[in-house]
Amino acid sequence: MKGKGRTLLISITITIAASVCGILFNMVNPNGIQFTKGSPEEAFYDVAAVANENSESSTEVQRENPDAVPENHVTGNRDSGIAEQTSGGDATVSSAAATAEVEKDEPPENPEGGISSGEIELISLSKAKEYFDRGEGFFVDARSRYSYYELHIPGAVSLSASKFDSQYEEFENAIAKDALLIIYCQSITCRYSDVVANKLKGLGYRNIKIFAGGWVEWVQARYPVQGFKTYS
Amino acid sequence: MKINGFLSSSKTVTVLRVVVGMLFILASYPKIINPVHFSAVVSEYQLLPENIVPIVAVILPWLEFFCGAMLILNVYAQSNALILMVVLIIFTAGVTNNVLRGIVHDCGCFELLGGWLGLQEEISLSTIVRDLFFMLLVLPVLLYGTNVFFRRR
Repeated sequence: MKGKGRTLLISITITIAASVCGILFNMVNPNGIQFTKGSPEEAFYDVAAVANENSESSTEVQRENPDAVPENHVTGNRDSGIAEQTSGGDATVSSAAATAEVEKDEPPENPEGGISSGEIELISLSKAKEYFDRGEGFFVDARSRYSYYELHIPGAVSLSASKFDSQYEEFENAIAKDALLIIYCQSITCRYSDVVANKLKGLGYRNIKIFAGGWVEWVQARYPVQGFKTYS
Repeated sequence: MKINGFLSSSKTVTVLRVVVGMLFILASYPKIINPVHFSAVVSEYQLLPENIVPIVAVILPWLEFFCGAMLILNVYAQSNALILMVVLIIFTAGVTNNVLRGIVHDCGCFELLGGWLGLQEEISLSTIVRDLFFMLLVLPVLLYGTNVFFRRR
C-alpha cells in the first residue's frame, strides 16, 4: 500500500514538473500558444472598442501582422468560384472557375482610410453579412471538417487548422491568390481563424479578413446555414 | 505461468521500457515544437472546453516527453508507466468516443512519423487497437518495473 502511494505521489510530482516545463517552454517557443491573447473579455473589448470608433462607416478593425504583404482589393465571386462541399463527401473544392475580379488600383477597404498592407483585418458580423449578401469573397471555415459538414455558412470552404496541409492543395487549386477570403472559426475566442489566416498570408494570399465573431455569432443572428445537421 | 515469468523478467521490462520510451518521445516532439497545431487537433476531439484546450496542448506533449525519457533512463519507471497508462486510457476513451460518434479527424498521435512517411493519420478502429497494444506494452513496466531514481545493483 505504501509502495502504491509512493508511486502515485511520484507520478503526480512528475506531472507537475512536466506541466511547469511545458508552460515555461511555451513562453519562449516562437510557435507557442498565447494564453492571454484569446480571453473572451479581451477579445470582445478589442473588437468592440474599434468597432465603436468606426461605427459610422464600417466596423472593421485591424490586427497587427508582422508578415507584411502588399495588398490589392479583390472582389471574389463566391457563387461562381466554389462547388459547394456537400454533406458526407470529402472536402472537395472545384478547381473550375475560381474567378476573382481584381481591382488592382483600388486601395483596400480600411476604416481609418489608410492602406492596410501587412495587416489582417477583423470584420464584424454585419460586415460579414454584407459580403455574404453581395456574394463577395470566399468564406473559409477554419473549424474541424466534421463541424463544417455538420453546419456551415452557405458557400463556405473548409480549411481546418488541424488539417491545413492536406486540405491546402485543393484549396490552392480552387481559389486565386488575390481572392478575398473571409475566415471564421467557432467564436470570438477561437484562435484557429488566426492560424489559418497567417498560414494563408504566408503562402501568398493577399486579401484576408477574419470574421471575428465566427460561427456562434452567425448562428445567433439566425443567418442562413447549410450542412447535414437538421433540427427537429 | 511461463508468460508471467517472461513478462516479469528484467530483460523484457528493459526492452519494453526503451521501446515505449522512444515511442512517446517520438510522439511528443512535433507537439512540443508546434503546440498551436496540436491544440487545433485536441479541439477537434470536442471533448474539452475551449479554454482548457491550449493548456492541455502545452502540457501533454511535455508529459509524454518526460515519461518517455525517464522510462529509457529507468528513473521512476513504475510511476512513469502509471502516467502513460492513464494517458493511454484517456486517449483510447477519446478516440473511441469520436469514432462512435462518427467524428473523423487527425489523430495527433505520431505526426513526426506522418511527416517522414507522408501519412496523415486519422482516428479509426486501428487507432484504438494500437492504443490498446501500447497499454499492453506499458503494463509489464507498471507491474514489474522499478520505482527508484537509479536502480541499485
